[in-house]
Amino acid sequence: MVNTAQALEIQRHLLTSLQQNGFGRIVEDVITQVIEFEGQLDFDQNPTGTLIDFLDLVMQVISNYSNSDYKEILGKLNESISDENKVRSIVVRTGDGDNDVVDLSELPNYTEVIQEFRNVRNIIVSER
Amino acid sequence: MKTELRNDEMELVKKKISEVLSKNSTVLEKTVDDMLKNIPENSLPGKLYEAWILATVCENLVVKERLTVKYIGGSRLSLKMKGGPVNRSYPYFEVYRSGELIGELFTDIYFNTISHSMRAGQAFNSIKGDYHELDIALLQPGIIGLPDFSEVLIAIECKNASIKKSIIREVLGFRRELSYVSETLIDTLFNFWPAARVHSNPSSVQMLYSTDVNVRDYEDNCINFGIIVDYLGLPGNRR
Repeated sequence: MVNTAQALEIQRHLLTSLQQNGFGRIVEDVITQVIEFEGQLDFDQNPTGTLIDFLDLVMQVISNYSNSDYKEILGKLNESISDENKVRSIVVRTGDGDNDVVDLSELPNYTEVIQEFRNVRNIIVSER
Repeated sequence: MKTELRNDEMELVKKKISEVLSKNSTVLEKTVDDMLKNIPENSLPGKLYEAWILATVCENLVVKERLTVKYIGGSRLSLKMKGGPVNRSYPYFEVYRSGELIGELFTDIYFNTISHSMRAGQAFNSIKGDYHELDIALLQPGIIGLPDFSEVLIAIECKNASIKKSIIREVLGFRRELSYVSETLIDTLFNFWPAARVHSNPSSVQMLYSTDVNVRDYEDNCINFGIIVDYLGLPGNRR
C-alpha cells in the first residue's frame, strides 16, 4: 500500500526511467491513453488503486510492443487449421510495397520487464 | 492495516524499475524507439491482440462449433493498418461444416452499411458513412469487394485498451449499421458458438473482445442487440 506522495513519486520515477531508456514511444502511448480515459487518475482519493491502474496500463502498452506472446498466438492459430498449409509468420502491413511490413516476431521481447513490473505491483499491494 | 511503503520498500521499487528498464533499454543494439521510428504511429498497438483474438475465434469455431478451418494463401499472415475490401491476394481462412464451405474469415474488412443500402437508388458517390471497418469478419463465402451488412456472419471488434463508454457507443453504432433489432430471437448460422440465436435481423453475431475486465459491465445490455462482449487478456497477461 502507498500514500499519495509515494504513488506520485513512483509514477514520476517510472515515466522518467522509461523516457531515459528509449521507451519514449511507450510513454507517449501511456499518456495518450490516460488523457483519453474518462476516469481521471485520482491519486488523492485512492493512491494505491490508482497507481496499480497506472502500472497495469504501462504493462499493457509495453505488451503491445513486445513479441512475448507471439509464439503462443502462432501456435494457437495453427492448432485450429486442419490441413498442412500453416501460418509461418504474422506481419502488419504498413504500406502497399512488398517491404512495407513489420514482422511481429521481430519486435523486442519484454517478458522480463513485464514480469519485474508485476513484482513491483506485488510490493505495492502488499499489506504486510 | 499497512497504509504506506517503508523507505526501504520505496527504494526497492524504484531500483527494480530502473534496473529492468536499463537492462532492456536496447534489444539487438536498438531501443524500441529506434525500431519503431519508421513505423507510423498507432500501426502496431492492438495488432498482436487482433492476432490473438483471430486465433481464439478459429479455436472456438473448431472446438465449440465443430467446424473445420483451412488457411488459404501464403505462409505470411498479413494484418492491415486500415480496412479495405475483400482481397484474396492476401491470406485468409475458409470455414467448413461437414465439408461444405459456409464462410470466409478476413481481418480489417470494410462492410457496406445499412444506411448505404438506404441511399441506394439515388445517384450518389460513396461517402465515408457508407462503410465501416471490422477488425475480424466471418463473411458469407465468395464475396467480391465490400461485403454488404447482410453478408456478415460474425463481426468482431478487438480492444486491447481500457474500456470507455465511447467504445461501447461505437460498438452499438456498428450494430445499428449491421442489423435491425429484433424483439424475437432469430436463428444464426451457428449451433453453439458464438450464439445460436440473436436479437438481430439479419442475424449476424457481433462481438467485442477486450483486455479490460470492465467490459463485462456492458454485457447484459449489449446482448439485447446481438452483441456478445468478452473479457480476454493476452496470454502473457494471464500468466
